[in-house]
Amino acid sequence: MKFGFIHNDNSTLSRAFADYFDSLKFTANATGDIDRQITEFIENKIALSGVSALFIKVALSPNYLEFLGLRLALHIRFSNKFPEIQTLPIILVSEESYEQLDRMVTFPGFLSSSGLYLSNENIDQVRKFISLLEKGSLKSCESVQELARKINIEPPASYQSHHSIANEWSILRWSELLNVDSRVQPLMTIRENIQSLLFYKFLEVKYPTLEISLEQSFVMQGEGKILYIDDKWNKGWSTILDKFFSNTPQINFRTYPFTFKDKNESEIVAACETEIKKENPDIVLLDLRLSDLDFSLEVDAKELAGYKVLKVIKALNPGIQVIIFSASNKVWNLLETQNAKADGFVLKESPEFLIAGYDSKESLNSLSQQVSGCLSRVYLKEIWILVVQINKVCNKNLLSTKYFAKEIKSQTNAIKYKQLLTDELEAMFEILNTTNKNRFNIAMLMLYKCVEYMNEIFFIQEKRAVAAKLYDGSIIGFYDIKVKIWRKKDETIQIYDTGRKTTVPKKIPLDSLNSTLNKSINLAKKLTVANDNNLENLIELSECRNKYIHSDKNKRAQLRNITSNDILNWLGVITNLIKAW
Amino acid sequence: MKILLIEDRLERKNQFLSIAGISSLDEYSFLTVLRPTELEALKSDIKNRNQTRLNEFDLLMIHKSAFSQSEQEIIRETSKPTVYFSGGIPQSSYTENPDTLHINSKEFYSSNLKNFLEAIAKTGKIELMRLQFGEQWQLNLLLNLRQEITQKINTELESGIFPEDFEALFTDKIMDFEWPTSMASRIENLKINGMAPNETILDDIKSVVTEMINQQLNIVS
Repeated sequence: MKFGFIHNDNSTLSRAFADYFDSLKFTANATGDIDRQITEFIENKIALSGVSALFIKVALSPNYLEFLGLRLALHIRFSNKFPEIQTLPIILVSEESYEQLDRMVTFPGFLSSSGLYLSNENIDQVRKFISLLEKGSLKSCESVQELARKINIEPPASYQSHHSIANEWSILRWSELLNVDSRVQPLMTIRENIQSLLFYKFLEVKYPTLEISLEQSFVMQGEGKILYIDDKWNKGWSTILDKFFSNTPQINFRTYPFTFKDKNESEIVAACETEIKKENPDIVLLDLRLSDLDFSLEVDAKELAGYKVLKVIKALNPGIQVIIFSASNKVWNLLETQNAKADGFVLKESPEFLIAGYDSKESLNSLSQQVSGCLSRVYLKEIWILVVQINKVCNKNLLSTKYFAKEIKSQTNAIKYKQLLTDELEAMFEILNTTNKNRFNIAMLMLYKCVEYMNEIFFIQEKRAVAAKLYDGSIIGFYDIKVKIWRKKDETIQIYDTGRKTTVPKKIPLDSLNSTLNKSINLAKKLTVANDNNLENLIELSECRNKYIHSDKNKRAQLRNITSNDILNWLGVITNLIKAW
Repeated sequence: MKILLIEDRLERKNQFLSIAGISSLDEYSFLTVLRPTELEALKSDIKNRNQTRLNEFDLLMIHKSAFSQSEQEIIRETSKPTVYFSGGIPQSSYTENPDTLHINSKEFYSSNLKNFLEAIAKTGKIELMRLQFGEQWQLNLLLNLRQEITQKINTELESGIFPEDFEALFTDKIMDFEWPTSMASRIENLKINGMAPNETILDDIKSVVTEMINQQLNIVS
């Protein structure tokens, strides 16, 4: 029966018990990567030794307080890769009593765990332990899972930094679930780095990876351009997200390859703004912590660089969809980003969330659902562009025309209705930017209202008029025929077609001639934007509005589903009319 | 005494210093903080194995990511005591020949750094343990000493120990502790007379050291 004795030439026991001990010397090198060195030592020495128990000096380095022997013992317990040595009896060889060790080590629960013993560095005591081992009286560790539940290993102090293990943990889990080739960089390096960390091994035991196979790939409906902004993009996220979106070819996914390192916040925000203007994305997947200063624990959500980028995006175009992609689950961050009109919030996975039962699959599903939701709203970006165009024209040109200057009343009317028009459009945008089931119908009514406002702006209201007169003095004829019109006593009109020299037989109600639709159609003709497409859209808008507004159940039943395309088309006509004036 | 601090992420340095309650490093005249513009020139020197600039200093404190692995190897050839700090270091570790301390950035930019620099200003001596363990640095010394004494006891039992081995244990740093008067004079006597202690004396010394450790740990015997 052979026992391993792990030391660093800091004990005479290996000589004293040369017949029993397989001497395993551990000397840390100057690279500083202790966990990796321990991992390699376990792999190359201990796992191959075939010993049936381990004696380990608690100190293995020139500075005793590092307690590297204890760390090595913990590594052994949490090395799932080597089940043959994982539960071996371990006798810690120490000058310290339990009481002394208890006050010095950061994981005291380990000292009282099953299969772990403490021996003074004393030949008689060690001999006693060897005897007990030979009799089979020393127990192995009963359950490493139980041990992981019993003790707590703190994450490395780098937890909030760019080297955050949480981030790497998340990257590894996602890459496994998405079957990303683990040999590609930087995933391979991350895997090598993280898998040797004691904290990671501890988590692997505490929260075993579920045998999840994501057979279904994530396919999202809709199309659009997604821009990904994250200071950790080149830590593996870009590769993973490329894979994630690869099954939806109508998504154009792009990462902003910016060097965030040591840039100050204003540089970062300015760079992101330039990129967004250049790329013109439909959706931005945005990390909140982009600057070094963002990793300070005290920083307020509104001070985060990512929050400021969110504000910039929404100021550029509130229709650009923004999904916050963060490792922070702080509720106040979530609330602040919601207040700043973020459209989604996806948590990167983190060991701390595992405690709350939030797993990788859930994160991926959440991302998929939120991207799908945002894709269904990408038209809002186009809507906002048109709204802005109309606003600009209204502010710059509409009131400076010579016609409105002629009479104060007309000018006052024009200002009033211009304001109503632009208010209506902004309100329409707000309604569309909700999940209200009826939002497209309401938007349709609001657009119709806008057409009415335009008529109020452009037409002089003359009571009992049978043909409308524009502010420039021109008379617009209805139905595009040369007519002679006279009013009948019964408030209908008789139309005489001067071209054909015949009377149009039908009596037409005065209201229908002077209707919103007719006015707008004739306005389009006057402004030479009366192409088939615009006219058809105006007629369609009018018909949909009538079917919706009238209480007649039959008419209402005929109303088709209004879509975002309809809204865009109708708004497009209004924009054309306004711009042509 | 001259110390060089190389930090390629100044924003973070200021952030950490602020958290650690260190308003400025300017007050330490022996400390030179390398300007970002000088880093490339220094890297070029290192690449050409020109150590002139580094040799001006007695201690190098370097953000690990500022240099590649091969550059770190060349720095090691200067045999200068070096502190590497990085957010990616999960556990601080110290190695000898040359003295090299790897420490997490958060632990580096902490009150320990302030105490470490102030101790240098006061004593002119570099004690990396102050940086690594803060107030517990003396406890670390005592634990190291007790381990050494135990080895000497076991060696003495096996083959006897040489006086010089014993003498080497009790450096000025160790003797600076408040030893019980009788024990201090026993140790001094052995050292002055070039005598090797026997097992009984070693056991006595070990008991005293254990008592001193307990005091550090607030354990009542």
